[in-house]
Amino acid sequence: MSELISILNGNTFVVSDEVGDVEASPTDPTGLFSFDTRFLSKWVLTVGGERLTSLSTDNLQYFEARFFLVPGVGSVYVNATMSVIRQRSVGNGFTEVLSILNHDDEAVELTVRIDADADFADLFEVKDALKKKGSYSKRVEGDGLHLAYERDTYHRTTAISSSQECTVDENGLTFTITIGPHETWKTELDVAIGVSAQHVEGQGRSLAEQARRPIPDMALGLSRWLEETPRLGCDWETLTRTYQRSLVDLAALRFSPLTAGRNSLPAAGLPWFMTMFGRDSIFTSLQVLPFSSELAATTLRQLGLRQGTRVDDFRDEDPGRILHEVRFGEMTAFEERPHSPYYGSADATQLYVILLDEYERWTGDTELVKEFEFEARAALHWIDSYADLQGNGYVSYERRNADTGLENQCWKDSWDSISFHDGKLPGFPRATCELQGYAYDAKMRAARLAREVWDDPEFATDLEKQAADLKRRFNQDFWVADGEYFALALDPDGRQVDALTSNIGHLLWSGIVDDSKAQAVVDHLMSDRLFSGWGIRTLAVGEARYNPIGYHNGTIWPFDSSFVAWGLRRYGYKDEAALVAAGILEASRFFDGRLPEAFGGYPKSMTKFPVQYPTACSPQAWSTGAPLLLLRTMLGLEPMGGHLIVDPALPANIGRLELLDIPGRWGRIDAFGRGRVDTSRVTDA
Amino acid sequence: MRKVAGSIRFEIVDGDNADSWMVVVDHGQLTVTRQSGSADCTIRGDRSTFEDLVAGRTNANAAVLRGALAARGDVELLVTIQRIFPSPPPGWDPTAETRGGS
Repeated sequence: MSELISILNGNTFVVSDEVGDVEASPTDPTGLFSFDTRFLSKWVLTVGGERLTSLSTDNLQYFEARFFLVPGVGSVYVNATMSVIRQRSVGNGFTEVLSILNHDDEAVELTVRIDADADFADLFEVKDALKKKGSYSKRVEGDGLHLAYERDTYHRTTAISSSQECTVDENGLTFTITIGPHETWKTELDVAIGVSAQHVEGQGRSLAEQARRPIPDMALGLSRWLEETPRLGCDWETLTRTYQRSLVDLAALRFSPLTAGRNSLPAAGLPWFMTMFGRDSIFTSLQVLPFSSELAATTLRQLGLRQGTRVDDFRDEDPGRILHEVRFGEMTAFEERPHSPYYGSADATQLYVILLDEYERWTGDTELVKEFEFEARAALHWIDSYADLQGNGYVSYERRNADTGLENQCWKDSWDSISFHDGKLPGFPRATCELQGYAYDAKMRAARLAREVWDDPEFATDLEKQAADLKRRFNQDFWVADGEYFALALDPDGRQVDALTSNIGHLLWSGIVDDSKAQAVVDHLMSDRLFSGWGIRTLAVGEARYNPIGYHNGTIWPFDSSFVAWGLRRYGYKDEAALVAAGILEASRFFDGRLPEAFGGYPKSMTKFPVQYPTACSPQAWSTGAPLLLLRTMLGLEPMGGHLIVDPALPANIGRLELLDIPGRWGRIDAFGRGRVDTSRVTDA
Repeated sequence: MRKVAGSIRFEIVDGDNADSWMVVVDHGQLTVTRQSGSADCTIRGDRSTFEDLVAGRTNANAAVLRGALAARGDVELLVTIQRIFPSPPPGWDPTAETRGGS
């Protein structure tokens, strides 16, 4: 298959082939998508009855692309006296400026045609190849083509129009044109999406109008974003390139829910996950905090606004629980899928409290912390009540929606990700170890907020007592004594699920590990079983289910490794953190600075380059955030009181590094460092 | 809901008639009156949809997505006010009706 070209704006995106055409099969994610619905599944250009061939494609910005084409297919161009340019930019729907250049000395008469169609598929239907239940209609109206889909009160429309005169039929637009010698013919095609509902009188704009809200100047938005984030100067080219790529990709992944005004939060990834996820939005916000706090603030507000309030088995919702995923497509609308929102995540609630504290440490924005005190307390209450499924003082999960709920509600959410050393799968409920670490950290951080912001020292003392008790029990119950590491989980009978995994690195990040046990944990993380040379494997070599290309059973996730590095740093293992950072950043070189969701867990000595996991999700928010967190880790950036501590431990292949204008409660601060940690093991080619 | 202030008007359509209820939220205090007039957020739907909402048999966010509820004005108020609708009845399966057809 040829390369796919994507342009995006929030949850609206267009994926086409390199000619700019879309011919979606029921199961591939190409077309124009918005609100999780495919508004255009066919968009094919022919000139003189012929398809076109790509000369080159410019992805000008993340929201616009330009396709340089010539008519005809095949290796010999019969008529190279003409070229075609499609310039496409996404907004609400998209616009495409189509230019045809006649390079000949004589005029040319041409028929130009765009074939268009829309299947209005829900992304879930695309993923699972499901059938539609409603009916389609097509209407020719003046110079435009209206495509519509209707199921009861659910209406979605696509309107296609052109600035130049054309003949419209139910399958597309035809232009009969003459282009003079050395002249150019141009038209602007507009594809507008519509979400209609019954009329309602009153103040303000209707939801349908808000869904078509004007798009702010995206080029300006991007240049502002780049201006406001810190500047990196560094003689390691891989790092500077990856940093720039990450900043642009993060800008691209910004998503602004209708409730957020002009503010945005990180959507999880293109193309399947362009929506709000509790876990992904929080992890990404944490990674990005030292560079920009806007994503964190919006994430806290939007997730807080949608915090669970009911017991709803279909949505796995509980009071106080932070959502897992929000969707807007037809299956969600008809409650055939639970994503309105779906709450089946056992970590987002703890992570919410963690982000609230980390956000305040960087920004000093106590107003927001006060505003969301109620949400934070409800989250802490969830940890101790609804999440403690077995009454044993540990957070565990078991879905109540057995049809469409998630089996594994931790970040490793594939069906076989939680296993014993011998490969057996435990029963439910499952209490994975990192959930307890996050709970510990949430309590400790909330204690600080209670004391310093909420003026409730008693609550703070309570939380610290609970946290200390949790830590003590955890270090007994989860510690695999003969292997000297923490079990992946406890099964419903309290038995240790004893696979060795990257999760133990998240425990370091949380601070739940007894100091006396830290060295053993670090030794495991840095051993050949877990550290491949590129990063930390999700599951260690030697475990029954280990597979270097197993989704959560042996691949390396850059996001995962970035939090492991932060954990190493937290316990004072600076050199080890630098080694992991160097490995992941070195890997980014092979992906043009854009780290994928996951790559193979093969030892570096074996493959010489990181093998990309066969997945279409790129860019992905928390992979994009990973280099930023690694920068923070290597520089040892840590807010302390009103100041920023800088304590660099950089790989020796970096001569100098400067990160200028780091924003925070101190205003702006610069950080400098020189490489000294021997990372030749991972950075030497 | 403690930090929210605003007014929401529910328009309950029953054939040719529409009942209008005004809910005023003022930092945790809720006042309900039977009146029309201008509100920060207006939500309109059939009586049957509202009956399902107050019985927990349908979800307000989903109802908005499928057009069973139409809304205008402040979306944040819309998302906030849907919290007052109750939990579904125990064992309630919203997909029971549609699942047979797929």
